[in-house]
Amino acid sequence: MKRSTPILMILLLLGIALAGCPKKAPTNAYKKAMDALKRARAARASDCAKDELRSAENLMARAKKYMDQGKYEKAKTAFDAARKQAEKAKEEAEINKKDCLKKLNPPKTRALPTPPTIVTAPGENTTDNRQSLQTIYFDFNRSQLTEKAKGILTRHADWLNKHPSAKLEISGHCDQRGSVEYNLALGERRAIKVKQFLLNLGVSNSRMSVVSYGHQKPADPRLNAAAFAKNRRAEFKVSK
Amino acid sequence: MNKYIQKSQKLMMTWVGVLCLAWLVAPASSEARLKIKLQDGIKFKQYKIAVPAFKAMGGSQQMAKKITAILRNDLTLSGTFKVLDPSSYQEKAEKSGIEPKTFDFEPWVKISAEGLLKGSYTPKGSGYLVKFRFYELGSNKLAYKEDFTIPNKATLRWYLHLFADRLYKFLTKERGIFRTKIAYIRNYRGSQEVWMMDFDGGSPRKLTNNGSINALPAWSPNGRYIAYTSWKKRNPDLFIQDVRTGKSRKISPFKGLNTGAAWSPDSQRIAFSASRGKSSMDIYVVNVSGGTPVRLTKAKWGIRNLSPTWSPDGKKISFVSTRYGSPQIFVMDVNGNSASNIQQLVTKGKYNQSPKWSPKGDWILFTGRDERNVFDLFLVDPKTRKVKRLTQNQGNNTEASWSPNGQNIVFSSTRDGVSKLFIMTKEGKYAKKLTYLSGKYLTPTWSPWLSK
Repeated sequence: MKRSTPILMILLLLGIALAGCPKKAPTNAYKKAMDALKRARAARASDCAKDELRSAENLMARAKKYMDQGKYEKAKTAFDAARKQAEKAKEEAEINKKDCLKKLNPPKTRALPTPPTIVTAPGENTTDNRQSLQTIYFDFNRSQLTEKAKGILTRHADWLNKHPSAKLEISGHCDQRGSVEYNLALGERRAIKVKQFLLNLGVSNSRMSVVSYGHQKPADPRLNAAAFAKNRRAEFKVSK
Repeated sequence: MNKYIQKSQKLMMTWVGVLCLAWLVAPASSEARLKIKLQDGIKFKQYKIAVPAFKAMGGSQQMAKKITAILRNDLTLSGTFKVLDPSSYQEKAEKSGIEPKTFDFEPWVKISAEGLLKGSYTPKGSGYLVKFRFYELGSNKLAYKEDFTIPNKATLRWYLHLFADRLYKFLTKERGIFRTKIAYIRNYRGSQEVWMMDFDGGSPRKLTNNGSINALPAWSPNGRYIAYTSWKKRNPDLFIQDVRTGKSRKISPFKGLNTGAAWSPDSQRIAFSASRGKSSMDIYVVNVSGGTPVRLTKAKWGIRNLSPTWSPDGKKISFVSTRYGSPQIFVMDVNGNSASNIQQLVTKGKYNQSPKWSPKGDWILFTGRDERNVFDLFLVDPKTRKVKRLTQNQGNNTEASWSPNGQNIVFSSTRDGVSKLFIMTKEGKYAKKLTYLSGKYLTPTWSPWLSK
């Protein structure tokens, strides 16, 4: 009896220790995440990798909440995620440092660049929709104008004919599917189709320019059918 | 008729003879020299290597860990090696050295390693002394060794890549990719600049900083320039930029689209496609030193010829054309001028794009859209026109580029969500992610070999 008591005790303690293990607060993960955050802040992530740092801080806050609630396993996962995100923020900040510090402290001797002469389309920032030239949309891998697009373009031609001093830039765009180069060609074709349609309605050649952005400037960056439809388009920019 | 058959039979016989001879001779002569045969193609089996943690001799453990991690990662990314899982290593590290006779081979034979890379590092001034010892298991001999005195922390990665290159050369007789770089477009917070990084994703930095849209970078075969299309002067023009000085100049004289720069193998000329403000596109070749571009294709209204890529002998150009409707891969002679000179290379699939001729000339890599409207990477043999699929069921995989030794491919993939860059072997195996930071990573271009 006497000899077995200490062994039993040890077994009992071991049992408690083992059972207690996952219930222990993840202080190590917490410390590591905190250190990573500190390093990210030291690397000026608050200026040079804002989004990344914010998301690391959010993860950290969530992890602390879990810890307060005693959900240690969840807390550990979140701390680890926060640490990884903070490491990313630090790396990002280091890459961007040169540019972003320049932006924060612009050199004083350098002359400011003059703003571009192109003005936004009339009405783009006002409620006067009549004057903004509405975007038109295309079918997949197509540059043919739909009946709806033709209707819109006819109204654009009317407006342009009433405002002979206005100049028009037509930009052609595509959805994200397909190669960059192929879509640039497709975007150009779309813009040219639009230009030809307007030419036939009496808008003079010299007032119009075309540019293709392929799928480089999506209106909706998501990768679903609705976004694709919004991206297959021609946009209009009017300048005086 | 009969004559033809006889002739072709004769030819066949000769070929069979040659092949038999080759089969008899090749294994004897190559096996004696090569430890890893890369030519095996689809049957290629990874070389199993163990890389235990380098020993810190007087320096920090963390540095030793970092050195080991960089080497393991290099070997893994090449796809030629399988770095055995460190948690399976059974050697007692404290009691084992790195030199012959200071450790047992048995723990390594037990985990069926074919090779063992050991090493140590010692701080030395502002730099390090790093020792590398490579053992072959089976013969249990020290097969290759190097001692590097690395001057400082800034060059550490480069020297580790150098060692990886030397080990790779020793084992395969091919040049390794470990000191090459990859340029690409990073779409980050509204900017689309040209960036470059080490082949393993390390040390990324911006090459352009014009705040405009930049696209389709192409590294010159001599390593000096990167060509790209930029909207920085509003019209999408072609620029070449000196990688070292950062100076760029415009080389396309045309209004409208100027895209798809592809360098001739001698870096003297660039093939590109231009719309000249029309609804069609043609392929032109321009001397880098200046002059008027020469037109190679004559598109009918609405037809687009684009995405040129040179054969390594500089005689042919493969490209995309919509002459029969949907985009397809074609090939033509650079100096030919009749329409009959143009031949369709790929007939499978309705939507094939972005051809890239391999450095050895044996394959053309391209992006194809399959029946489920998913984009994947394929190879076509320009001689037999046989097509091989490289990727499947892993998001969209597009816009690839060859490593200079033709063993690896870098490409952008949406398999983890937003488009990132991945590396894999030319067989389409062992894909690994290279870029982890936020933003979209697109259109990679692999550098040539940059140092001896």
